Amino acid sequence: MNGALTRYRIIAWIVGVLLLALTLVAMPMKYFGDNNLGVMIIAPVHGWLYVVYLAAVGDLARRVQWPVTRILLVALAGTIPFLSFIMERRVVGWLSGTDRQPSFTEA
Amino acid sequence: MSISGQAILADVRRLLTPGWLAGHALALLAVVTCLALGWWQAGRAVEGNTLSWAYTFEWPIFAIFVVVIWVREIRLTLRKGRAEAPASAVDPVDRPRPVITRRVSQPTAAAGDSDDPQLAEYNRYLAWLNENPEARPSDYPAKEYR
Repeated sequence: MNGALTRYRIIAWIVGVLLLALTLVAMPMKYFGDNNLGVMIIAPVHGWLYVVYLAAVGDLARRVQWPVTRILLVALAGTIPFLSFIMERRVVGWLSGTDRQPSFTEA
Repeated sequence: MSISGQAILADVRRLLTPGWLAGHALALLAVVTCLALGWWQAGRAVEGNTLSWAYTFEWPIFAIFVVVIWVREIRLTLRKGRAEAPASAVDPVDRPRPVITRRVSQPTAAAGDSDDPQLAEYNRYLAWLNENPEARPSDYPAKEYR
């Protein structure tokens, strides 16, 4: 479970930072500065890394057996600026009650 | 009706509760929406919007994510329902021929004579797996093995 949590946390931060770059830098550049370059680069990268984020969430959820609502909540949190960081803290909090020692069932 | 027919009917009934009907509708709506958005982006991509090419392939992946969670929930519900169903549902005539197995040195909870609590816990886990051959490792109730 440790590995899956670490993978989720890393990709959550990457996607979160890219989303902030997209919404706070690239989009103002496009719509106010008439410079499309930032969006053209960051948008597809963020889009595909979000797919990786979804895979990490799915993998983590499979190991810790979350209910559907929680899976969807965590998945959607990756699409809202700033929320992915808050959600990352909450996920760590949810899982901090469990034993952090290497699990026998972890693949 | 045959026993297997009744079992299938019971499975279907578990997936037609009001909550599940809402769940199916929601999942279907999400899948259709994702596919429609992918189709819309494909149209924009063909018209010359380079950025849309990425989204053309991304939206179907989101649809797949929804389907994966949907199927997972269905399987969890069915597994839970079958586990709670009375054992008398199995007709001795219909039952498949038993497979002859030879059990060798089964680990049991009592075997945890060792002082190592981690080893004792692992033995309890193995014993539990042995008692529940249908279960997956992730079904083990103790939190540290999830």
